[in-house]
Amino acid sequence: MPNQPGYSLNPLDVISEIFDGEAVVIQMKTGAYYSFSAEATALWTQLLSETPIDDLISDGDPSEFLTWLANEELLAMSEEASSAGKWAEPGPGPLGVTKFTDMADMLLADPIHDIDYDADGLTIRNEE
Amino acid sequence: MLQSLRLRNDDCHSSLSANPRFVVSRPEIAADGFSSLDASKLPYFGTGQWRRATNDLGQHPITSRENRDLYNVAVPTQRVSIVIAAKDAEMHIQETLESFGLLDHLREIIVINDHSSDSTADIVEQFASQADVPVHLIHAEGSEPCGAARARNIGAKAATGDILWFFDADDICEVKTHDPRIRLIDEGFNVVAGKVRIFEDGSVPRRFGKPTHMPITSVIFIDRATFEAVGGFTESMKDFGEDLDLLIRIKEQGFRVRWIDDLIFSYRQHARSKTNSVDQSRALGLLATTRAMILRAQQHQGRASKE
Repeated sequence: MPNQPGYSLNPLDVISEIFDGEAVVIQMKTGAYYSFSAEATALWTQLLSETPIDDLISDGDPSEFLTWLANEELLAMSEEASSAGKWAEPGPGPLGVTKFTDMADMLLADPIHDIDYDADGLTIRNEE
Repeated sequence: MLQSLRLRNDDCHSSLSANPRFVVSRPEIAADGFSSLDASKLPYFGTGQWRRATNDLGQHPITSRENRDLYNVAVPTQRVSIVIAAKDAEMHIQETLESFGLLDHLREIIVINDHSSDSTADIVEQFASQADVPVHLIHAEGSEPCGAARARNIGAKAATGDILWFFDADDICEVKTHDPRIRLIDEGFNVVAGKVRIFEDGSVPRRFGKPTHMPITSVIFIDRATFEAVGGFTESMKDFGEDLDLLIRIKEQGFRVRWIDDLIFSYRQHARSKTNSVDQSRALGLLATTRAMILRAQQHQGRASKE
């Protein structure tokens, strides 16, 4: 059995892109958006490729950052990882993450929130 | 009435023209008794009733497009310039153009053909030949498509109305005759954005989502001065996120945006393909817009820390 990552990403609620070495992450349910430092971006990139928690490469202990990500609903921890004590108490953002909430109303109104896709194609939420 | 233009950016006048008031520009009209025709005496400013206006001698009723062309009369409330960037839009642009049919206050429709490889331009020309309003077809210069953002900026510079309404080439106008947004612009709002409902392209019968507010192109109904003050669309964004970016910059700079509950248009949601999904393009636009916001915030912090 392959090593499980210990967390899961939610591509429907979180989108991100790396710009010049800086990850920009948007939480679509809350409208918050984040600017990640180089160190946080390096970890985020590993998370996007579903690197197992134990294999994450970081200068420090990544667990504090992972817990902070979970609290921000940017990822979800697995039951196994949680029970194994792989999650620390969230810290004050030691990896250099800046959070913005000033444009939540605009971001939450974007149409990509109102469209679901499934095997049959597009589904419109809140149909008349 | 087709006015096909081929403009470079430099050719487009960009100044905010004075709000056009009633104009009778042909000298010979005076001989027909129209010289004393005063806009203030017209009973109603809407296009439909305006066509029933007559000259001050009670003759020559202006009842048709032909008469309006003959007398070259502009009505003061024909203030809205619709700007449409079109690229390979032959499938839907006819329906889009026809959806403006009953709209009051419409001054002109400007279509910027961004190097379409299909019959988009032909369809616009055909529509223009039968339209009641001036339709300007502008062909984007250059050897490559310039992108929707630049195309819309070109259209805005060519526009003569004091209100700009940017519209996607495949959306459908739902405003019937009187446009409630005009009054709000006159009350001092810089942007008035209504509701949109999504429908799935190709669904029969059409399935519509619940009308809602979305920061997308066709909600941008903006007074021209504000559009120019914020510098128009960010052309480096080309086709993704330029609409949200514009709205956010408008908000950042303190202009007044009013969201209203009226249904303004229907948004065509194209079926997703594996290689070019609509939601993916919107996500990219959202991320690019967010990145721009972060850079502005960082620059602002940098300036503040130096002071």
